[in-house]
Amino acid sequence: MKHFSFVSEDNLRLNLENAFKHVEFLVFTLESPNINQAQLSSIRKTVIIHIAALIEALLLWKLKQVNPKGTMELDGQWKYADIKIVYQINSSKQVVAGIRKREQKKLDKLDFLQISRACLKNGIIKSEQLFRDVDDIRKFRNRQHLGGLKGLERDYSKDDLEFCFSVVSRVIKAVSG
Amino acid sequence: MNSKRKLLKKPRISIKKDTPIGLIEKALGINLGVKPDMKASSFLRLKGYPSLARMLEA
Repeated sequence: MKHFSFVSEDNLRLNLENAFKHVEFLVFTLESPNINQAQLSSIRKTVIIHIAALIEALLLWKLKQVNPKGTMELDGQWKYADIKIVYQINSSKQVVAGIRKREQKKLDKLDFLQISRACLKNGIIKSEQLFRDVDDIRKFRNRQHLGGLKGLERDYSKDDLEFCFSVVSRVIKAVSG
Repeated sequence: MNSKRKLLKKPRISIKKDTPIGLIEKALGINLGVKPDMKASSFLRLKGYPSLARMLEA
């Protein structure tokens, strides 16, 4: 399989290829006329979760390529030290003073949103549209956390899958260049 | 081969743009309801996955 031949890390490349192979199998299985219609949405959700994992892994890999030291500063992320209370407003509010320093975060510790924002900042994701589409995939992926859903889980359509495939193909183009 | 062993066995196929659907059906133990000589990428376009079809064709 040649989708991920540009990925230099052997284990990652194999994991990506195996995950994509599994996605292909699931898609063909979905199209069987004998499939239980009630399961269609659930299987599509599985495909989406796998595609989200692929996208996140590809973006992180590329981020590591352009940041060889393995860490980066994130906007709005500070480490605080030597905090001193200047004034106690009430039992839950204080005026404080101290030292703050921009936090160097290890790339392996970044979450999906931080990864995609960093990729936009570093020019790996070159368009706001692709950033927004990747973020939509992230939101799809987060719907696996059922405890965080406000209402009944939605049904996933074939159009949702086509959208995911269009995003992953654009991400592959962005990171393989 | 009984149906349980069929489910557990990993499909030994690498899908390319011109992989015949008949081969995919046999590997996955499914019926896709089209002619067996139809190509994989053509099937995906027919079923509404043009982006996935393009990825196979790339």
